[in-house]
Amino acid sequence: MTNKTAEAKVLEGKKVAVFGERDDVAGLAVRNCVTAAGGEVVYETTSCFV
Amino acid sequence: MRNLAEEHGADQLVLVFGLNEPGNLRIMATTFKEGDPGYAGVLGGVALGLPSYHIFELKDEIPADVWEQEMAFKELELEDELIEQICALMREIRER
Repeated sequence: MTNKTAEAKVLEGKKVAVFGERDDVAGLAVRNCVTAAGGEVVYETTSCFV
Repeated sequence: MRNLAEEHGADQLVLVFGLNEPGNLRIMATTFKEGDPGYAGVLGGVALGLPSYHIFELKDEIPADVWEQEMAFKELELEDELIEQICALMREIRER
């Protein structure tokens, strides 16, 4: 499945704050994706809303 | 988040979420863009203007091997309808 946004290159060269969720997508997984896409993670957290 | 926006510049800062519950996403993305809708806490009345995305919206920017390792299973777990709902919600908040 593709969920392409209208905006191009959201992450490349940007500072990124990551908000993960323990039972959904954890912060570390989001961080690894963001970093691989050229973003710099400046804040990361993994919450639990249960 | 206010400190990060001041340190890095709001135009250079992007928020990326991994939580999948639309109600929580709406509150958080709205708060970081327009200020706390309940006018509580440090972001009450403070519109930082920060754009929020869900990681599912950004699939096309992530190298395929990394996506496969980090996200493919999570993507399979979710109903397509929920992913579409999440992506539509995030777009709506960014564009208003």
